[in-house]
Amino acid sequence: MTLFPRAVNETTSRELRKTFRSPSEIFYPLIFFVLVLTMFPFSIPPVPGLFNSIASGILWTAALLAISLSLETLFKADYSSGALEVIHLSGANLVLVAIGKSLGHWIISGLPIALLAFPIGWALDLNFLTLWVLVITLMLGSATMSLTGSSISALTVGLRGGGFLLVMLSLPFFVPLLIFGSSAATNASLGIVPEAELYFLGGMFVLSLTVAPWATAHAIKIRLG
Amino acid sequence: MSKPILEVTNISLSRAQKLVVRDLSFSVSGGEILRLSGSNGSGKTTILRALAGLILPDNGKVARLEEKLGNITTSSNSVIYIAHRHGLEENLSPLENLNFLSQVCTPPPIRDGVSVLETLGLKTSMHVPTARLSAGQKQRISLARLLMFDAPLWLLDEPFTALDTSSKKQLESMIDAHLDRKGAVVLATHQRFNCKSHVLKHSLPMIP
Repeated sequence: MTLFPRAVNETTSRELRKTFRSPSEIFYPLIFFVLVLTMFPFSIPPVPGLFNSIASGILWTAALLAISLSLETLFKADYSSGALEVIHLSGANLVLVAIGKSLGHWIISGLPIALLAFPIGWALDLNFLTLWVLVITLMLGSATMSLTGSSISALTVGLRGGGFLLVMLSLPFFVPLLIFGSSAATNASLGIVPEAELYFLGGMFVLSLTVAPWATAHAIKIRLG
Repeated sequence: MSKPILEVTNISLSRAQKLVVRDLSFSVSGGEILRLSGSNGSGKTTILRALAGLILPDNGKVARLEEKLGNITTSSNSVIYIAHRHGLEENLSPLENLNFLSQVCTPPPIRDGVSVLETLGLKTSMHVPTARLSAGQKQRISLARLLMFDAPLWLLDEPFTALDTSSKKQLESMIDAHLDRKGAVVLATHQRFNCKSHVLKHSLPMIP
């Protein structure tokens, strides 16, 4: 893979390798995602067509919560072992490390959740166009969440109640993604082409890619000092 | 007398909003070793973190002079800080940990991970997940950075803790070799150790 600078590649492969050695980190968000989704049918009145009309919104909400919860692990181990300090002092480019970390986090959490949304949405009787739009918006949205969330994760790592703070601080950033992501899927289910929403999500992704890694690098320096 | 590698002028440092070091000044030149001593909580680790550039002093100045010294080429990465915490990812092997650092660090390392781990007598455990190694082995792996990277200033925080007699001897000879190359060492330790050069001492008072 020569697509990215070496530091990005190395960081991503380090993240993947360490996660695959203790895979619970991959399964917890996925299990949480599925569990939240299975709770909804119990709580909604059995009106024909009701669940189908809100299914994409529910899928998006569950994905957003699962990803928010998984963000805490992004820097926790490296901070408490002192590895983050070692990486910083070795003169590594923290911006590239931040991009690598976000990419690794997306491959571990966002990507499997987006792919899992396909069979679950199918089981919830969504049509094919809606399913595709749902998967694409979740992929774009979760990548944005991994990037933005990494900054907040770095800023709150090692703080008392940092996990709670992380979710509280990141949710406002994720709400626009939720609005446009779920409305894209809902529009697709009504037969409307969701171009505008997809452009918006693409724009949010590019914005977070150009801002978040620098914010993350700065946040790491603040937390180490 | 060579120029100082590190010059500290009138620094005050605080930890968790409490002043721990007041108006400290010293300088360390190439070939010199400075030992910080003082009771627990007197600010030894805080000073080392400030020297590494991780924390900024409340007052005063820490200057690391970056120039060519002996056969050590200084650069932006002019310090190696061995902290209390070993700084290793537990799910990865020692070699994977070092290889990752050697890929992302600037400037590139002077020795590769395999040869450094062999030198330190960790050949048999270099592919084992770090979580399965003992505290002493982890300490030795974190010392591997001293051999892997080329930096004129070594900052060592309790480096002899958990080391066995032979590893301790090896670290002592590593320090001697570094001083011979006109490098400088600042270390905090409570243990006795042997060093060919004269050890400068600085004992820190407790600030109430």
